[in-house]
Amino acid sequence: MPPTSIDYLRAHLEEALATDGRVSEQGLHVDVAGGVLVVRGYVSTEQRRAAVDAIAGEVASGVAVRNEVSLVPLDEPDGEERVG
Amino acid sequence: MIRVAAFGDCHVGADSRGLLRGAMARVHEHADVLLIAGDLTKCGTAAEAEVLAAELDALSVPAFAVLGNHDHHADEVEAVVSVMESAGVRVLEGDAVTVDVRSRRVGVAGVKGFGGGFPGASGSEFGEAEMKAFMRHSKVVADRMHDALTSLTCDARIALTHYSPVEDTLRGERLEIYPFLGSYLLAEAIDRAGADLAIHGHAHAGSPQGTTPGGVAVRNVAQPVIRHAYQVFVLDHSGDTTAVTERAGGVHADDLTAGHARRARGRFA
Repeated sequence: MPPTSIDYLRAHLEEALATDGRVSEQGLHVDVAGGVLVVRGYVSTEQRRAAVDAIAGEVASGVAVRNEVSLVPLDEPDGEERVG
Repeated sequence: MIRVAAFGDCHVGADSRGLLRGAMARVHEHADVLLIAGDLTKCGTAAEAEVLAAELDALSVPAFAVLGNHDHHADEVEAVVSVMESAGVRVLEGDAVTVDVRSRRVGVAGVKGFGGGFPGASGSEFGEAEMKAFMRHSKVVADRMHDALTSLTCDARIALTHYSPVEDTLRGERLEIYPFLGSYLLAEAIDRAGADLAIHGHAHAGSPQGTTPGGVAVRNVAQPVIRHAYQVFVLDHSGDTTAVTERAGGVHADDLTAGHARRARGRFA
């Protein structure tokens, strides 16, 4: 069986990150750069950020994956906006 | 002056305990009311809603929410709503509520909304049953928003959705997924009914600010966009004590304050 194209692995990883309950994040985006799958976007917790690596290892084993996912800052607002 | 705190897409799960509690306990220092623009939970379970309810335990301002697509995932919508309402958060879906703050009455009309796309790149209710159902749902929820907004009599009206009513606040997302992020039908409903502010979430890579074709300010408050626990908006309605009222498809000028009339003229010209 021929190796799975990295384009399909990219799509499978995006699907898994959206549907796997360890992350469940549709807002994560996977790019292909120089043969590496690069995951970007935000998650709420460190556990979910770590789970990105775990899921990538399961879905795209044998391909290098760079996890550039950030945690959502949850500081209180430092200002307000006047609207209306 | 009405101060509105808003956020969306907190995606609370079992691993979220303690992340929001501190900020939520101090919302009253910055705002009079809190709006949550959907995706309260990660996978839509009642257990996750319980975690969020605990995070909101010390919240001391009125709170209103709509659900998002994540909150539907586990098919536990009724239980999620029940948990949130027990925690004092009123969950809106085609409903409109008013709350009095600082001697002003603010009205909130809420629906989840749905996808469908925007002018020039919108789906149609045609073809396969699945496609027709998709677009029909988009129309149904937009109609709910219109009806909820027009039922309000208040000083300031806010349209609260999870999905976006405009493309402006999607900038940064891939163009190809816009039809999954919102629908122009929501904006059309908001413009027809009139509102002072439209708040939504869902588009994590989108932009914070936009405007409907009729001139209503739209704000994307998804936490990855605002990069804070919540955002505060100030609606200045000093001396404004009447509401825009749509009757038989038009706006009665007698009911309009200067600001409302200006916006309404733009919409109905």
